[in-house]
Order: sequence, then structure tokens, then C-alpha cells
Amino acid sequence: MRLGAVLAGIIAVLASTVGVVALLSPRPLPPAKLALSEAPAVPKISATGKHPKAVFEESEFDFGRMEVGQERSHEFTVRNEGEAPLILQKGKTNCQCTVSELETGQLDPGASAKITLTWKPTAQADQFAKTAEIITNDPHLERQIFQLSIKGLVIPRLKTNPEKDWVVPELAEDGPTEFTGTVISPVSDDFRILSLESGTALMSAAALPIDKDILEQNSGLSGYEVRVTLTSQIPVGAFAFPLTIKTDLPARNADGSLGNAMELNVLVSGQRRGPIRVIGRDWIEDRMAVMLGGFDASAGKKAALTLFVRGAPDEGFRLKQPPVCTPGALKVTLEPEAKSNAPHERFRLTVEYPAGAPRVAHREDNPGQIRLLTNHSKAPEIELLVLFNAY
Amino acid sequence: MTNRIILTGLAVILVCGAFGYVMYRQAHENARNDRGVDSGEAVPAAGNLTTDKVDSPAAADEIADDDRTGSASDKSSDAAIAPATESNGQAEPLPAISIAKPSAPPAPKPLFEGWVSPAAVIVFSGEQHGYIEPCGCSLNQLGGLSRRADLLRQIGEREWPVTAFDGGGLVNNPTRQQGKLKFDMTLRCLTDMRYGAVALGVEELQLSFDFLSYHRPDELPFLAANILFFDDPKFTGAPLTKRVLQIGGVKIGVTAVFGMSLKADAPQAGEFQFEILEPATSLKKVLAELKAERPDLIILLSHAKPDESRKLAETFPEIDIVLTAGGSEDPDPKPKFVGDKTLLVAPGQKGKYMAAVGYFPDAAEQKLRYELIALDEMRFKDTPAIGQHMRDYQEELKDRNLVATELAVEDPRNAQAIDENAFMGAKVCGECHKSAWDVWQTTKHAGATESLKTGREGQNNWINRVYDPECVACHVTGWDPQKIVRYKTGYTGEQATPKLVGQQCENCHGPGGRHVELERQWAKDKKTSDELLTWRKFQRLDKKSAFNLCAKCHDGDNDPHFDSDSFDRYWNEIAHPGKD
Repeated sequence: MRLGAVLAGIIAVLASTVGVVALLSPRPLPPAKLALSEAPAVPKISATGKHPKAVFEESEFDFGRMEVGQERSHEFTVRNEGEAPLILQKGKTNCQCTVSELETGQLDPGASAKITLTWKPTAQADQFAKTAEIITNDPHLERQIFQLSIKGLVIPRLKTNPEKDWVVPELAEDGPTEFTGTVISPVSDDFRILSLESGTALMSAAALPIDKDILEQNSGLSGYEVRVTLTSQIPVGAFAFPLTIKTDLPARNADGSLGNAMELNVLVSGQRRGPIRVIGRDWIEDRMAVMLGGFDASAGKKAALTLFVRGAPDEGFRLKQPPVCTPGALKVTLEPEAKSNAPHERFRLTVEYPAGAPRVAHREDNPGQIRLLTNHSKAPEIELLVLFNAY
Repeated sequence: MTNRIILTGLAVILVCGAFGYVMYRQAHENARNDRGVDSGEAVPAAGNLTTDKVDSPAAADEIADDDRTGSASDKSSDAAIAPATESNGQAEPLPAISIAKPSAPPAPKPLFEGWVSPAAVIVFSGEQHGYIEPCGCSLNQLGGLSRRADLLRQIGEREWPVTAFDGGGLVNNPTRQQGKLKFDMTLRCLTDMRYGAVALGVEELQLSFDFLSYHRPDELPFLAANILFFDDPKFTGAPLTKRVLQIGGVKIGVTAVFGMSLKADAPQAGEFQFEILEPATSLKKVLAELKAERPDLIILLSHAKPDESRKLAETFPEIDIVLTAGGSEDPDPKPKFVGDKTLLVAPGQKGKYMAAVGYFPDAAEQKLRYELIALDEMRFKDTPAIGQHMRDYQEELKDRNLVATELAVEDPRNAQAIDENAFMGAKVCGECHKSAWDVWQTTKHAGATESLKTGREGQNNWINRVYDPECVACHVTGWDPQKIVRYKTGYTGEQATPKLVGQQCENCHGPGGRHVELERQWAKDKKTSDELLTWRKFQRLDKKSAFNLCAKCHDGDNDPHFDSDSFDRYWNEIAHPGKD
């Protein structure tokens, strides 16, 4: 019994001891995520009146042309022309610049140090400008910060124009359509296009010599025109065909070495539309509807749209009879606009609900309608919806 | 008696045990506070445990950026601190934030230092290129329409008359449905912010006919002094050539030109007929019209490269401010003057900065003061109204189901464009590649789609974007992440293609349909054919080649920490060597 009580007492004491020890000795900390626990405080300005003075020989350096993946460095020199030690610390950069460890974190008066700024671009840029802040204890500097800058331009080893989607502006109605883009290298003066692969029978492509003026405008050393031919069999609606351009120009690897031959993939896209197109701020294309909205019936409402017509007959596009409208109060007029060299005719289409016409609502469930009978063989009848609420 | 002793002893044990446990928990809490763990409370900074606070959890990543600046060549300060990763095998969850910041870190520069009652403030933006949010979805990026609106609100709170102009280039991918929806949403935001005008840029012309439907001169006019539409100077729906507006007591005349230096980037005119005229000739006429209105300030929005914009400023010294395009993404904050008085402003690209000009007509020397403002999260908050536009935009994307209905293309990696080579889903891969499947399920790639709904830790007011193709392209299987286009058998939605949820094997190894079919046959008959070997080779991927694939999603905008130096750390989180 006594033994049991003694044991119980020992256990109780041990349990208490554990708690006290835990209190006095905090657990070892697991490494923190993204920790900078050693970050020094921002250097304070001396109150004695003797101050350092940070003088940089230059604050900006131009790297000129760089390639994506190419790493470049520049050394900036700083000298302390003051009367007290100059403290230097790394501050922020506005992108992925790296600032090397400073040769010394403290410069005595009269001493110099080098700070190296290194940058490796990861994307093409016509121009770039990056900055790195150096925090000091020099009271002459705004916010105690000196800003170092590097600039230049990042050139790709190969580039296309258009850069992204190759959008074909217009498909010919009868016969194939051609579209020309370019592939240019600002770094190589003799790369070759090995093949052009489209993966569809509706499109073919060929590489042709490039115009020297185009090459010069794009700061290229060599390049090609890529002529894409689209057949007339492309159906009505949107299309997008990938085109793979295989070259013999080696890519630049992430470590700066040259790697495999480069391939570019562009998307040749566009739309085959019908012969009639309506545009305007009150036009809802995917519903083929004119939106007059809500308005006071006593004031009426008018919408002005533009109608483009392609492939009209020789005598010109015209309506065979006046428009047929529901409700009958709607007034629709179609007037030709100024002629141009464009391959279409242009008309002003005005849709009006006159002032004083009866109050009525035509919404999604019972839209108003405009029916146009035309002399166009491919669009003999055009139906438009009209949505409004004349209150 | 004995029982009493035993019971007493047990009671003492219980009490002491409870005391010990309480002490243990207190010690643990003290330890967490000492290293600044975010439990939703203020984090004490080194050197002063009681008063200094870290502004936000996002400050951790800000310090991480500082940490990264030394990563290439400054290993010494990093060596003492091992970054904790999922592979460290820590028994308990890592603290969300653990930072000891400098006791007095440099504060962001206060806005408009030294500006006293300007007669007007004009804010410029340009070449947003579709960046409606801070430069991608990583933390601590700059920009976004929401912060931009907050800047204008803050200026308004000072009771300074303010207006804004944009130099054009609002969207990316203007030929896609999403580009058009984003364009429309952006215009609604700029209209809310009471922008005075927008210049016509490359991307606006690429909208083709659709642009004409967006142009609303009574709400937010587009300006272009030197673009002729359909050979008709009076073409209905064409942009305006100029605008005069009153801001406070200041009369501002503004016009815009499309530069010849960017003409090569403009789309080829076809059915949508336009002609870019020589800017100086058009500008001369328009400036004469503007000067007749006697404005206090004349502004030119020049959608041209800086050299051309500068030449226009030299040719027309009556212009007070020229906004230029074509500069660097992060522009020089120092003001640049052309001649005696024309201020050349460049707000950079991606909407990260705004260029603010204060007009001080009574100033003895310089009447125009300039400040380049980085739209950072420390000085600028989200604007609820813009957040609502963002939500409406995401709802529109959902309603139109663009993830499923936008055009799809053949995967160019397919050795043969045959139906069998479809995307199969990681679960099918896992039937044979068991260890790789086991590893994949533990990685963030597996939860990539879900993360579009929930956002990252620390991102407040997250808007679900699981219907946004620009986000989906990197967070599902079967899309080209750089071209933002779906492959024909790629993901079309969680319900339609549940097997393709997450960032899976086939995004890197290529679609596996044919490979799976051949392997299943081989499992039955053990006949090794050339075709079998060809497809095995097709699916193989080495670490060196993987970097370029990873970089398609982990690009500078979306993962600024990813590069050749940090690649190994990333690789270790997903490595799954061997083929079982």
C-alpha cells in the first residue's frame, strides 16, 4: 500500500516536472516556410551628425539584346564618401533580379564595394527595365534607398508575325484563300524551315523567301514568309487549325546551353460567314436581335445599325418589298451608304418604334420580328428579332 | 485506508497530469508566437515582440521574394533556414507564416508627396493586355482593375478633380469569344471609373467588326485621329477624332493616334476595312480643331512606340502631355519632358502601374507634376463594385460554357491524328503505373481544378473561376496552356469529363489513348510490336525536357519563383521515376 502511494506520488511529481520543463524549454521549431528570421533591421541614421554618403558610379546599366534564358550580370560600384561607416542591405527587386551577396555589409569612409545584379529573362520583351533597391544608413538618400536599374531588350530566337493566332480576315467565297505570316530569327542568319505540318486537308502551307524590307522592319537576320492556303471547303462557322513549323535552329535551354531544334506552333483561325452582317451597339449577334430596351412609348425609340452585304447581284442589293414587321407599328428603313472599294455594300438599317405608338412589350418569349425579302440569291429572306418594352 | 491512499494517489496523478498538459500546451503556444505563426492574429516582429505587426499574411511571400533575390549567389543567409516543403516530413502542419521582419522596414512611398491642391489630376493607363487582375494569380503581384478603381477613389477622397485615359491595347486574344467578353467587362469597369476616353490600339482593331458594337461615344468614347473606316470619314460608329471635357475647372482637349511604328502589328484589313493614315498629317488638323476650343491642357494618347511618340511631341509642342505605348513593362518612374514643357508618360504594361499627372496652373515653374504609381496591395484595396463585375464576367463565362464550346484543336504532339489517341485520364495510367499514380494523388497537381474554386490560402474574396478558359488551361488535362485552347479530347467540364479533372500525367506525357490500347493488348498476348515500342517512346519524358513543359504553366506571371535554379525543388515534389 505504501509502495503504491509512493509510486503514485512519484508519478505525480514526474508529471508536474514534465509540464514545468516544457514551459521553460520551448520545443525546437520546425523550419518555417519561407522564413527570413535572420533579416537585419533597417540601418538607423546616426544621431551624432557624422554620416556616411553612398556614391554609386552608375545607377543604370543597359544589357542591350538578350535572349530568353540567357543570364547576364553587371557589377555596380559603390563608394562611401562620408564620415561614418556606410551600411548596405539588399532591398526589394521588382522582378526576378538577384542581387549577389555584398562583398561587405559595411563600408568604412573612403572604401568601395561591388554589388552584382544578375538577371535571366524568361519571356520575350521589346524593352525591359528592372530595379533593385539597396537600403542604406545614408540620410541624403530618399527613404535611405538607392535604386539600381538594368534595362535592355529580350529577343526571341524565333518569332512569328502575327505573334499569336494567325487570324484570316476574310475567306473567299469561291476558290481558295491565302494568308501570309512570317517566321523570323533575330539571332541566326541562316536557319532553315524543315517542314510545315497542318494535320488537316483543309489547309496547306509553304515557306517562301522573305522580303528584305520586312526582315529589316522586324530586326531579323533571316526569315521566311509562310503562305497558308485554305480551301473553299471550310464550312460556315469558326475554324482553327494548328500549324507546326519545324526548324533547324536549336533552342536555348534553361541553363543557357543550346538544345533541340525549335518548333513553333501557331493557330490559323477565322470564320466563314454568310453574306449578310449586321453591326451596331443595339445589335445582339448571337440572337440576331435588335435591342431597343425599355422606353416611354410616348417618346418612342430608334436604333441605327449598319448592314454589310457580300456577293450582291450585279444590279445591287435591294429589298423586293417593304419590310414586314411584328408589331406592325415598327418602322424599318434600309438606305445605302457611301460606296467604297470594299468587297461589300453597306447600308444603314434603322429600326424605330415611333413616338405615340401603343404600349407593348416584346421580350424573349414573344420577340418582335422584321422580315426582309431580298434579291440576294444566298440570302433571299432575312429575319431579325426585336426586343423592347414600350411602357 | 488502503483504498483511500490509492484513490488519493490517483487523484494527485490526475491533477498533476492535467497541470502538466496545460503547461505543455502553453509552452507550445509560446513557441509558435515566438516564430510568428499566423493564427489570424498580429505577428510580432523580431526585436519587438509586443508592438510591431506584419501587415498581412501575404507579406510572407513578399519577404520570400526578397529571399529569392539572393537565391542564385547568396546562399549563406539561406543556408541557416531550410525552407519547409511537403517533402520535409514534418509531423505537424507547417505554420502559414513565419517571418521576423526588420524592425522598421521601408514603408511604401506615400502617394502624391508634396502635391498640394492640384487643379486636376489625370491618370493614365495602357497596354493592359487582358490583365484585369494583378498580373496573374500569384500573390503580391501589381495591378488589376480593382486596385485601379481604389486609386481613383483615393484621389477623389482628397477632393481633387480627376479623370483617366487609356492608351489602348485593353485585351489579349481579342479574336476569341472570351477576349470579347473580357473586353466588354473591362469597358464596363472603365465606365464605372469614369474614364474620359480610350485610344484605339492593336488589340481593338483585332476585334474587327465586333469593336464597332462596343464603341459607345456617349459613355466611353474610343479615339483615333488617323484611322479611316470603310473609306468614309463620316462612317457611323467610327471612333471620335477628339474629345473636350471639363474636369473641375480645367478644360482638357484629348486626341489619339495609331502610330506607324505599330502598324506591322495591326491585323490585315479585309472585310473589316480600315486604313491607318500618317499620324502627323491627321494630328495637325485635329489639333487645330482642339485649339479652337481653348483648352487648358492638350493631351495626346499615342498608341505608338516611344521614339515615334517623342517625335510627335517634338513636332507639336503645343501638346502638354503625350501618353506613349511600347515601353517596358516596368517603366522608369522619373518624369521625362520633351522640349520645355511636354510631358511624356509611359505607364508600362499589364496594368501594373498608373501614371498620374497633377496640373498646377499657378505653379511658378513646372505646372505638371508626375508620379508613377505601382498598384500594390499595401496601399490599394479591392473595390467591391469591380469585384461584382468580375463575378458577373465569370458567370457569363459559365453561362456560355466556353470551356466546352470554344474551338478545339488536334494535339500537335499526336504522332498520328487518329481517334484512338485520346486523353484517358490519370486513373487509367494508374492501372499500370501504380507508384506514379500514388505519388500524383498526393501532389498539388491533383487538386489543381478544385483550387480554381477555393483560391490560395490568404486570398480573400476569391471568385470561383472553374469556368474560365484562361485559368482552366493550366488546371485541367487536355489543354494547351499557352495558347489557351482545348485539345479535341481534352477537358470540357467536371461533369462532362470527370476523368480529366486536375493537372494529370497526359499533360506532360501526351495523350495516352493509343498507348493504353496497345499495352492492354500486349498484356493479353505478350507480342511486342514496333508500334507498341513507338508509342512507349512517345509517352516517355525525361527531366531535362520536363522543364520546358513545366514552364508553360509555371511562367513568370503565374509562378515567379519557378526557374532553372528552383526547378529541382519543384521536381522533387512531383518526381515519380520508373514505370512499374
